[in-house]
Amino acid sequence: MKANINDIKFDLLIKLAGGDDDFIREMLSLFLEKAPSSLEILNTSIKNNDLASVANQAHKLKSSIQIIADNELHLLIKKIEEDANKNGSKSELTKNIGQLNTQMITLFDAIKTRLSKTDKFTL
Amino acid sequence: MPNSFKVFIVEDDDWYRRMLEHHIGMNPDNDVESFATGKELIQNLYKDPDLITLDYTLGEEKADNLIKKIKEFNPDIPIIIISGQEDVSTAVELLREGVYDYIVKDEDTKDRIWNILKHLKQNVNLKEEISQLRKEVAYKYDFSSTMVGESSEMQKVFRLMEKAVKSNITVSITGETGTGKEMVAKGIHYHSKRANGPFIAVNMAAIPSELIESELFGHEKGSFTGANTQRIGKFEEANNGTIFLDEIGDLDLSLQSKLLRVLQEKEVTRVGGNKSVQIEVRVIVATHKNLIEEVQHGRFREDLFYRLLGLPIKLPPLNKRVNDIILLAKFFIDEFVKENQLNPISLSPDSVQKLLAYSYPGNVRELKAIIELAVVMSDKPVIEPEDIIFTPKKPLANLMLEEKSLRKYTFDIIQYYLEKYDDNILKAAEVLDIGKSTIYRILKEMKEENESKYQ
Repeated sequence: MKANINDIKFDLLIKLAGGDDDFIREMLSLFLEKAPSSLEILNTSIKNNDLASVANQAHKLKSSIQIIADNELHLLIKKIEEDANKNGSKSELTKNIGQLNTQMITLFDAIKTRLSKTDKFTL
Repeated sequence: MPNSFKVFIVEDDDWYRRMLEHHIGMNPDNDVESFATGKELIQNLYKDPDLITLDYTLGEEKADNLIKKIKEFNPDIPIIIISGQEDVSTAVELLREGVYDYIVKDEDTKDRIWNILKHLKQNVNLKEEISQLRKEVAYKYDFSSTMVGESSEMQKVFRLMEKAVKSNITVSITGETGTGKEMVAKGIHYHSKRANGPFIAVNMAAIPSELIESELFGHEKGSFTGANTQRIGKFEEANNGTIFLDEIGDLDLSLQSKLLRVLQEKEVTRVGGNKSVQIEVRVIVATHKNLIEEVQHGRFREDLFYRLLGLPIKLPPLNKRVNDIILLAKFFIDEFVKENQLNPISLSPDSVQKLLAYSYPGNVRELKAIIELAVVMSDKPVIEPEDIIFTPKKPLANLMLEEKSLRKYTFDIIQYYLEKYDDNILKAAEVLDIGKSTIYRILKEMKEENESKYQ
């Protein structure tokens, strides 16, 4: 995941939106509204050792992250889902979820910054 | 929304559901409705969607159960599974259960959905087109409105056709060329329970004898010189429908036994093949020949004759139902005018007389051709006698083919010479070595006789 929030371009979302700026804003806002609660449940679930719930939340986040974020973050959430599904190592999962939290905060900030600007979304 | 394509989206992830709504809704022809749970979907199935996209991992619900419920409600609704992960074995299993397609959520999802929608719409359009064509064909062969005849002979034909449509009984139609045997066969098929199945017509007299076996029963690749590919025969083509074997009296004796076996066993074996194929076909046969005479002369198998006789329908020649000539003429005028978007046109009293005086060796088919030509030839809103052209001329020798009264022979001879010399009475009288007044008297008698028949 890119460390600098200005480097996050939302290219795939812009491409899929077909030039509809309102739709891009709507989807970014919807992500800001829904993703933090999923992330919070995921964090609680790993603490409670509830791997089924970890897998479930990771699965939920995966589709939107694939479109909004970059491939690195998508691979990370995918790995968390897979490891949770096959009862993988808890320490590995905790480490990856820690990384996910950091990268998601960067992503949330990038979205907030981009939404505060009024110019058009372009590739 | 007329002609819209109704798509149901079932996705528990709010974010991705909105994404799908946007993808599919980008085409204004798509009428999109989305649900977060399987329960909501089931409650709305009565709205008859054209497509359902289903998230494979739908919370606690199993997609398999939901697919089963959808299929129970309507097995024809296409279902696309949109899954977060690529799992080939699951995909194969779902496709086996009748799912239309399985696609993975990735950057190409939108394009894949659009392609599927494109194909499904083409299928829907094709189905609608086929359904419309079937309706049109059924109307075309609606014998209650398109087969015309008030004569008692034709009323009997209609009564028999009505009986024929109610069962699968074999029907044998006899009648001279041009009396409408195929029209009757189609009328029966398109009003029977088989109307949605194929109607396959085969004219035995038009196919070379060496090809007829392969034409009827098909052949395997390499079964004879020129059989480069496997080909199914007309009987297999007609499966679940009707096969119309026209001019059955012309079928070679050697093939008659094979046909008999097919009719008895209800299965065909392709030429060069050893595997039999079950068929479920209604058989309608027609001939202009007298099959009883053919049997008596050993040219037609007696057992096949009785197998095919079924419900016999005899179509009368047009000159035996004079009352229908003008009725049919008016019907053909209306049809032709409608088809060609012409102004309405009627028959003058003299042209009615001219039509009634003719013998129609080509039967209804000939009358139709005469009328269509008359409409084209006429420059006025009324068809006059000069617009009515009888061709080809009936050879005089044919006059002796049927037994009739001396009076009728006289009428036919006068008519023949008048036709031959373009209604030149003086010339006809000269050739026949009789006076002009004799011809006028005979014409007057013909007219009176025809009028009395028509009234």
